Amino acid sequence: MHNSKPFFLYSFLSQRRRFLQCVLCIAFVILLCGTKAFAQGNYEIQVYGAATVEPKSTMLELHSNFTAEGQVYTVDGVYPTNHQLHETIEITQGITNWSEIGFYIFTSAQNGHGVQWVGDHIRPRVRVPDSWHWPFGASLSMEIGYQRAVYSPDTWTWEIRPIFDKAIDRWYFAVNPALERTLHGPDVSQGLGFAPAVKIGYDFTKVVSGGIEYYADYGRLGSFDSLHEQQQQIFAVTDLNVSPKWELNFGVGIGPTAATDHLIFKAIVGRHFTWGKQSPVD
Amino acid sequence: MGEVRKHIMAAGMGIVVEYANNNGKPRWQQPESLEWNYLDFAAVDPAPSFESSVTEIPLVFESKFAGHGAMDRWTINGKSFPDTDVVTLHRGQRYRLLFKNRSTNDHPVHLHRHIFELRRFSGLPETHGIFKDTVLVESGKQVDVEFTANDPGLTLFHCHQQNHMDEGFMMLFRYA
Repeated sequence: MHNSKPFFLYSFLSQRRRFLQCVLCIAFVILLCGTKAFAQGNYEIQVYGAATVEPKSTMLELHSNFTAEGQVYTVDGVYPTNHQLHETIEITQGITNWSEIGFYIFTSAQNGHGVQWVGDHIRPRVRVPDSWHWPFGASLSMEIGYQRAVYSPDTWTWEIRPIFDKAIDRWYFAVNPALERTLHGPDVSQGLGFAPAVKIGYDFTKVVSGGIEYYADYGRLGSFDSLHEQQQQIFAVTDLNVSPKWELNFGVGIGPTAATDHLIFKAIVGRHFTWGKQSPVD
Repeated sequence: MGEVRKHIMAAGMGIVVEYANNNGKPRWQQPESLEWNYLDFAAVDPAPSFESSVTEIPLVFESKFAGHGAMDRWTINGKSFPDTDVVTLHRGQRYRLLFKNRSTNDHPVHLHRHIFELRRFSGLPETHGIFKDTVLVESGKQVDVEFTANDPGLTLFHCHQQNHMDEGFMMLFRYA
């Protein structure tokens, strides 16, 4: 008897490992050359789970975020965030059973400014395949994109986001210790920024989960901003697991520091689509 | 040998079996369908109707949610092993087990010590002539089987998925 893995799996698995290693190397080369990153702001408020969208399928999400209490003044040519409604369309296409690529379209609506296109991002992501049998979920996303200067002074930004998650009985934990840098804008020389996000959830029922999401931007790695200048947000959220086809997340968040919008309502409505006729044995 | 669904095999559910003194590369012949119909093997003559002397025993399969990070707890008639009821059989008596799967999983259920005859699938007329000791009960469906109590002794009944057994999907029959 041979080893318990079919022989034909070995070359496939080693190819995937090599690909992931290449992705990691490229990511860290960019980081070493990099400078401070852009915070995506209140366009997509989400702590990522490690799972990726399956191949031959697409996840379409609408992120709706309303800043009920935010910056009321125009600062350095950037529109005030107070009473801005951000609608973000996220389209994520599964590539393999361990990779996906996502696209974002950011918009903003506000009295006096109307409905405006803000920018676009692209976000490839790979994850640790199930066959590695890690005791927790792990994936790595990279996001690069443009946003107009009237909405963010840093117009071209890049982010690398390690993602770890784990479900234990009724509890769910996710950590995204993201690193960001600015490619073009006033913060281009500010170095790497550290912007972690954390989620703790609890399944009250099979359908209804509730929890806390924490988002922060500590500022430059090795020289964090003072707490007053850091972005700190805490959201009370609920996830409704009504169907594998749907993703529903609603929350309300507060930002207690001066650098953070003080009150935000958020909603994520996602729909999973499967394309083509899939063989039952796939 | 392996799981025929490709993504499950790719996750490791496969093994190479080598016969002694045989060489050469192993080959995997991938089936392209998961379809299986027990009735293809049923007797062609009309099935006898249900006899009133047969004792019916309903067995309802359900699950209890324990969190998205845990396996569901499985129940038979509302109870998980070892708290499931022990059903008493009388030697020589004919029984009809009514497998009612109200869960969202399919269950290959297995009865020890006995061979049962498949008698009815949800929405279909009575059948006969198919003798098994394990039958797949699809999610939301019912399968009726009949057997004669002819092998005294404690008799285990369970789902053949090990993780379902581990989470309570077992029960015992005993003889009076």
